Amino acid sequence: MTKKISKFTKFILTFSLFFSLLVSSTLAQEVKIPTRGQGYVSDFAGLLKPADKMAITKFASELEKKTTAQLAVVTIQSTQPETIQGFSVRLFDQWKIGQKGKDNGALILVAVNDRKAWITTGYGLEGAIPDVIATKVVQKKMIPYFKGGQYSQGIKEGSIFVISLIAKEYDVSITGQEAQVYQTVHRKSSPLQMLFTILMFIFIISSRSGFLGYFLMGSLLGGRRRGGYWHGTGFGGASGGFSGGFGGFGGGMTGGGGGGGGW
Amino acid sequence: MKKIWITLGVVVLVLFMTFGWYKGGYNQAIAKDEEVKSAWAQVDNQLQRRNDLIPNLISTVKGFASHEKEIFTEVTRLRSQWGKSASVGQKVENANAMGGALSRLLLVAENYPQLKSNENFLALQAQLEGTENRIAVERMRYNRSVKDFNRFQRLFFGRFFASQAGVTEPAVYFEAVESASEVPEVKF
Repeated sequence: MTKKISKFTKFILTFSLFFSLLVSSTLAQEVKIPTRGQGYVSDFAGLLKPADKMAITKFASELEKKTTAQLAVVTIQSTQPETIQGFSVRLFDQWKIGQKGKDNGALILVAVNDRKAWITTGYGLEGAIPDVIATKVVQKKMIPYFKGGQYSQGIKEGSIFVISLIAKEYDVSITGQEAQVYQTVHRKSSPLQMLFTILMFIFIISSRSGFLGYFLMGSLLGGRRRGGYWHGTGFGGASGGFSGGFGGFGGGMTGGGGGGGGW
Repeated sequence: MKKIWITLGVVVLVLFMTFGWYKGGYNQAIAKDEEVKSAWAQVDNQLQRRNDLIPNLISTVKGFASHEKEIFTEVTRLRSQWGKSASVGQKVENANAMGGALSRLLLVAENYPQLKSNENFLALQAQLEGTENRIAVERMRYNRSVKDFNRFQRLFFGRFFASQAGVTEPAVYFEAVESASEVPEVKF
């Protein structure tokens, strides 16, 4: 997991040169924010068991499919010297969780070394998840597990509860039976990937007539597509493009609502 | 004859470009000014929300700590002053004073165990905390837009466009007073 983090750091370092010219100076001082998530769940601190991560992703993608609301679950080591709320808002601002205009995003952040967890709601979800409820979810659903070191379980419980709150607001039910469907849907819903495939196709056809080359490229693309599905190696810009198989965060904003606690 | 047409074409082109440049700059000045205003409206909303919580908060605290008159009168005074303050500068000043007074009030409440465990008080405290978080967020966005606008205004052409658009007044930062986030000193 540490390898993955250092990969991220490298990624950030190379791009920070560009971004430092573009982004206002206030962002530079504190803990840097990973430029892009790994999907709905970004487990930078390595707390989640693969099965729980899969489960959260499954529910979160079903939620987005049915309501367009987006949940991001993020774990990191520490937000120091910043408060967990401050960091959450910055991360929310940068990733733009939720749909543009609807601002229906929510972020669950766990800073494991600070022993703090915080739920941040977008403007559009302040009704579905009032601050008091957000605080209760963290304190009653997550922290009891965290105290016993069961981070994975706690994060799963909290995430699923938040998802159910949002689903209730939109009056839909989340069944957990949509895993098969969403995979195909997301594959279709990524026009950039399709464009890429077509471009590659044309490129290969026009440059080389060999069947072997086409075959190789095809399998390479397939591998990439599957790889991108979970890790977010996809394409797209900072303003919520397409990242991996998951559709990318959409341009939502937060007003700093939410709640949490420590253990 | 051909020469005249070329000259005319060049003149028209230059006029067109000048107009485009002027329009762009003018609109930019207006847009940046609007950005500051709408960001302030968000801050204003949240400050208003905090002020709306105050009557309830005071009546709850009063029920348990009726003799802490000094702090009640200060908070009430600041709240009524809020309605009178017109300019952003005055509102910022008032909001900072209010932030300080409220944290003193909450600190006073610490001394009353019964109050501290009162349901109503706990709910109000949570709401107040949520509002403070929101104020912090909107304040940050507002200051960012102020920075952008003020920088534009000080640029060579920015100043020209700002005066053309009639937005020459530099915007006021909402500086959070450091003491507002610190624990205030209380004398008994």
